Amino acid sequence: MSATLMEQRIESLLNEGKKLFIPYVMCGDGGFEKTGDLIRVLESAGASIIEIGIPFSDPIADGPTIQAAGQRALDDGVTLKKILSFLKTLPPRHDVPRIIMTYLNPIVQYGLDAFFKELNDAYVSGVIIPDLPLEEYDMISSYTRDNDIAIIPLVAPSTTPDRIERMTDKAKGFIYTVTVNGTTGARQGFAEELTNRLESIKSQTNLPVVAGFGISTKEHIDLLTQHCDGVVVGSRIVELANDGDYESIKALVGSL
Amino acid sequence: MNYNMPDEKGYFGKHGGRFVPETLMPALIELEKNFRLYIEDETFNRELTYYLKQYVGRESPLYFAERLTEHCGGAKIYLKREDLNHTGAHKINNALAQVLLTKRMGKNKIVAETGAGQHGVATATAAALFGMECTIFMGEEDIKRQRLNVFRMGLLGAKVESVTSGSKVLKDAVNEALKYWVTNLSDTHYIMGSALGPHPYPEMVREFQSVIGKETKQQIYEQEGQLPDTIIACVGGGSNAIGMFHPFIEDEGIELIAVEAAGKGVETSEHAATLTKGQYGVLHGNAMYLLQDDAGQVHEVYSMSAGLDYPGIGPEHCHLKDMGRLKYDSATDDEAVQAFKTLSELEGIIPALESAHAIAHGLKLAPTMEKGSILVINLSGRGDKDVHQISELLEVN
Repeated sequence: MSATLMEQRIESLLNEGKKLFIPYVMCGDGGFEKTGDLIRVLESAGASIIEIGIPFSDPIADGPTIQAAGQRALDDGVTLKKILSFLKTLPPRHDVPRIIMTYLNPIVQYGLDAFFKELNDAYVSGVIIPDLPLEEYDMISSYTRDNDIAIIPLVAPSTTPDRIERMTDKAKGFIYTVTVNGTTGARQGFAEELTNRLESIKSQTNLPVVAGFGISTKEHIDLLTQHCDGVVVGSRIVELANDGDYESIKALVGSL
Repeated sequence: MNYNMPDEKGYFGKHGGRFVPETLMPALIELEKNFRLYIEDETFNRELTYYLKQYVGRESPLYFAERLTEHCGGAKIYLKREDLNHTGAHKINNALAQVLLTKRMGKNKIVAETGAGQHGVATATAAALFGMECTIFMGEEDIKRQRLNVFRMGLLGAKVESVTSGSKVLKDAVNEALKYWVTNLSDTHYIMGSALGPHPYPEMVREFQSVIGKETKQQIYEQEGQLPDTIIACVGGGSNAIGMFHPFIEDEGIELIAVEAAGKGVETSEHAATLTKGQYGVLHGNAMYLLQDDAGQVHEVYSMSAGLDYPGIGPEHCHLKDMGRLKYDSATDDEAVQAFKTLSELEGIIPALESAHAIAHGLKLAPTMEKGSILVINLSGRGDKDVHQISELLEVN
C-alpha cells in the first residue's frame, strides 16, 4: 500500500468519527509464525495501522520492555532481510496499513535504495526512524519520494514550533507525538501539559496527530484520544504478546 | 593543505552528523550555540587555562625517553606525558572544559559514560570541583575489571550506575547514558568522553583535547628545533589521538598513526580494530566506521583494555583515514602487555593499558626509522588502574 493510499485510509477512518489505534509489534519476537498470528489478531480486533518494529542491538529510544523483545528476536537470528521476506508473504487483511519502525543502521547496512524499493512488496506504507531527525531527512527523502513511502516524524515535548512546521512539510500519514522526554515503556499517568501540547500541535498541522510512548491502559487511551487523533501502544502489546495473552490484546484494541 | 572540518551540519566527509531522537535535537542545538559562544569567550578561556594549569598541572612534559630510544636503536622517542595530569589521563582536559561549559549553560547535573573508568573519574572530579551532581554509567563487565576506578568515582561523590543491558561494556553504557539524558534534559548536561557522538561533540571534544597537540608542537620546537617525523596515539573512540593529531593535520610531512586494539588478533573475532575491519554505519548519534554484522547489528568487540573496547571510532578519524592522511595499525593484548612491562622497566613509567598499545607500535616502528628522526608517542594515561589486572594475568602465566 502506498503512503497516499494509507493517507486515504486514515482520512476515511477519521471521517467516520473513529480514532486511530496503532499497535506496535516486535517483528520475530517468539518466531515469525507467532508474529504472523499476532498481526492477524490485531487486524481482526480493529487495529487502524500496524507498526512493525525491527530489532536493533542498540535501541536508544526504547525502554527495557522493547529492548528485551528486540534482544530475544536477535538471539533467534532475526534480520531485516528475513523480516522483509516474511512481510511479503503476509498481505494485510481488512485494509490495515503497515509502517516500519527501525533504527537507521540496519537499513544503511541493507542498502537504503534496496530497502525502500522493497517496501511496497512488503505492504509497508511508511517508516518511523527514531534516530533520524529532521536535519538528516535528506539521507532518505529521495527514496521515500520515489517509492511513495511516508516519513512519519516524531515530535517531542522539547520540539519547538518552527521545527514542527518544518517536519510537517516533509511528513506524510500522521505526526507521532512523543508523550514525554524519555524512552518507550509503560507509565503511570500523564501530565496535563501533554493534553495542552497535543491540542497545540493539532492546531499547527493538517496531518492527523497521534500520541505514543508509555500508553498502556484504556484510561490512558480514553484521556488522550479526547485531544488527538489516535494512539500508539507499544510496550504493553509486546508484553502481552510475550505472555501469550491475546484476549487482553483484543480487549485493549477493542476498547477504542 | 587547508583543513577545516567539520562542515556546518557536523560532517567530516561522509562521517559525523546528528543521528539522535528528536527529543535531543533542541539540546544539541543549544549546546552547539553555547560551545561556539564560549570557545571564543575570553573569560571562559582564561578560567579554563587557569584550571588546566593550577588544577590539572598542565602543561604536561614532552619527555625524551632516552633508554627506550637506545633500546630500539632508531628514532628518538618522545613521550607526551598526559599520564601526569591530575586523575591520571588526558580525559580531564575535556571533562573540566565541559563542566565549565555546563556551569555557563545554567545546568547543575552531569551524566557521562565510562569504559576503563578514566573518563568517569575525570568527570566525577570536575563535577566535585564545581559542586555538581554526577551520574556515571558503566558496563557491568567493566566494573569488574576496573574496581579501583569505580571506588574512586564513589569517593568523589558520583553515582555509578551499573549497565546490564546488551554486552555490558562501554557501548551499552553510552546507550544508557543517552537514555538518561533524554529523560533529564532540563537540568543535566551529557559529557561525552570521546571524540564521537552527535554534532557538536566530536568537534567540541577535539577542541578541548587539542591542547595536547598544541603543547607538543611548541615543546618539540623548543627541544629539537623541528617538527617530529611520526606521531603515534592509541584509539578506541579516539579522543587522545585527535587531540594530539589535529594541530598537525596540515603539516603533511608528518606521519600520523592511530593504533587500535587487536585484542586476540584482527584475524579472530575478538578485537576492537574499527578502522582496520569496520564498515560504514550509524551508532550513538553519528555516522562512522563500525564493527557490525551483515544485518547491521553492532558487534560485541573485545580488548583486554576497557578503554579501547568500543565498536566505533570518532568520525574525524574515519574521514582522515578516507583522505589518506591517517595511517592505522593495531596491537594485540600480548603486545600491549609486553610494552607495558618494557616501558615500566626501561623508563620507570607504568603506562595505561590503552596507551601501552601506542607504545607497542612505537617499539616496532622506531627501530625501522633513521637515527636522528623523531617519533612522538602520546602516553595518554598512567597504569595504576591496570596493575591489578596485569598482576592476575602474570600470575596465571
